[in-house]
Amino acid sequence: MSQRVFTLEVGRETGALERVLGVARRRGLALERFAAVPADELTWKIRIEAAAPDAEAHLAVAQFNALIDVKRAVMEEI
Amino acid sequence: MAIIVEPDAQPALETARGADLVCIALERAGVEVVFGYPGGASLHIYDALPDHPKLRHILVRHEQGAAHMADGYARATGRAGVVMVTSGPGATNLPTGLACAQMDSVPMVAITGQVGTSLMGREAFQETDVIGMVMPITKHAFLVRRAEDILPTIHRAFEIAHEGRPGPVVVDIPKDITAASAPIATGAWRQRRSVVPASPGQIARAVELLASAERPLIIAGHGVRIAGAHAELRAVAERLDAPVAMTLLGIGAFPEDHPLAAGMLGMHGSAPTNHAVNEADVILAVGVRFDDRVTGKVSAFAPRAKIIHLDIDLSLIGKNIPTAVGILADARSGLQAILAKLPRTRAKPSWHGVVAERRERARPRLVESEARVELAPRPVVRAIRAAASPDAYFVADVGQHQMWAAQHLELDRPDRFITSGGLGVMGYALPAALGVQTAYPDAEVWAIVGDGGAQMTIQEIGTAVQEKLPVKMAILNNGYLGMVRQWQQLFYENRISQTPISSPDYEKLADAYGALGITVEHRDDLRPALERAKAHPGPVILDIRIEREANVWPIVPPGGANADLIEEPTRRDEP
Repeated sequence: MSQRVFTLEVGRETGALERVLGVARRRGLALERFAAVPADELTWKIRIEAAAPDAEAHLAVAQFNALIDVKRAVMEEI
Repeated sequence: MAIIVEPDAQPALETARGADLVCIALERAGVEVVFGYPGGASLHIYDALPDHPKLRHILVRHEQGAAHMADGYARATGRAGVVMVTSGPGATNLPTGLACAQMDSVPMVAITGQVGTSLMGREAFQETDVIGMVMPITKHAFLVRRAEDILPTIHRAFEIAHEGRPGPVVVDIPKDITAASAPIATGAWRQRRSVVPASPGQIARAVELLASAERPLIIAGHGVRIAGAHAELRAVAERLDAPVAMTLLGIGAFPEDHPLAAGMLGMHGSAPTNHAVNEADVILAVGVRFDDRVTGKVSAFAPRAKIIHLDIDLSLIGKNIPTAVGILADARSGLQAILAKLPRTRAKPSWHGVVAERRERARPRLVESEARVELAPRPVVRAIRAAASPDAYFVADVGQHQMWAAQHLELDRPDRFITSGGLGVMGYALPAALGVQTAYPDAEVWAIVGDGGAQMTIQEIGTAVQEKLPVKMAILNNGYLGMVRQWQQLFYENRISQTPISSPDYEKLADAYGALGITVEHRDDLRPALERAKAHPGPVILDIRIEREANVWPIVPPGGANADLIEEPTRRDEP
């Protein structure tokens, strides 16, 4: 398994962080670090560090991007 | 499908009570019916409801029934079904219906009452964390904290329910918010079915594969029906001269009497269909989830085919089955784009003709043994079909009867078969049928149910009677949880465990509710009973005492490849 970093821009709505964590849980991302920082009044910038198998990691990106509050989600290997 | 809603024609009020804002929001969304059950937290809303006569309220007997009714309504009409329930147990009775809608991509908006904001988080009477509870099983969930947010939130809920892959959305509204006043925002709402155009590059790659295919095959799923892409599917199939196989929820996407119709694939699909999938060299899958019931053992699914997966949900493409080309688009615009570029390919009679011939030979036929049994289930399903009107709706519950219905109804009208596919909810059919009947009061609607599922939501017969919904509920009663018994027989060395189930006297039960009950124990009584049910102006329960231990064939064993399906034992002996 590779170490991955997911970076998300998420609207600051009730439940938004929980929904992101819900995807991480269902995909078994093996979270090692989760940080949500306000980028501005309306947006969180989220950084997730995880060790996750390829297939789950790629599916997670698709599912993050499908969340209503997520404006953008990308992944890189480190 | 566009829902265009004009601003309220009444003199504009500057402010309104939150409860009225809920009703105004629903009116502006073009809602005509709400399926619900009142309670303490939703009292203000129910107090406002009579002032909004455009909204018809169907009073259910259990909130799960409300969700399934809204689901059936939505599948029949393409419009979001609307649920209204109270806090606590009202909301906790919803998740099965929400998850069912989520898995089958059904647009739904569920409004849940919530305790007052000052009581939230204090384990107040009938308080639950609704948002936390429904998060994994909905497209989205909102908690409204200010009355002025009611209109835009409900508006947004409808948008989300319809956009992209449809699904359920919950709007949780605390009681004090429905009592507070807020200005009425003006403006018309306009909703359209999602159109997601495909990328030209993806289309070009797909067309290149399809044009060169020797043995092309199309798999049509629920996404074709949701997008209303029936005509486009037919055009592509005819241009390619490709057989069209259907998933369970794809039944109705392609006419079953068309020469290219190849039947249902998967666990209980027909053997020729599954073999055709395995022999195809290019497969165009449209609006399909490729769930395990369709694929069987994934590594053995369509081993010779390059798969083109056209779907509106990006997370489905490549999730379960490796794809050669993924096309992110709604089914209609995706197929239109393919059609625009696809050259007329040469006819492939040696391919689709073989498929059709094999399918004809394997067409579910009544075997000799069924003639010796009073009420074998497959002839019963055929008899229901024969007695019903040509454009009747059939809503199947979950179990053996569901598979017999899928195999034997052979419907030639589009979108007349409705069932709970992904979640497989026993008890779905009766309330969902009531939802269909609500949408089309003059239609003939049949619920085909097993005796297990019947008892899960039978109380909704009360709804049928009170709301005058003349659904015909045919219970294929074999005294077993039949599908589970079949698995115990075939895969657990016939160790029958907790699958014999008793039933009430359905005729007496129907009578107690004010419906018509008919018991059928002999083959000769079936047709007159069906005619009587059809002619009756109100709801009917038919208790049809079918053969006790009939099995569904063919069946793919658990963990098996579709090619390893087990055919009906008598058929194996036929030349």
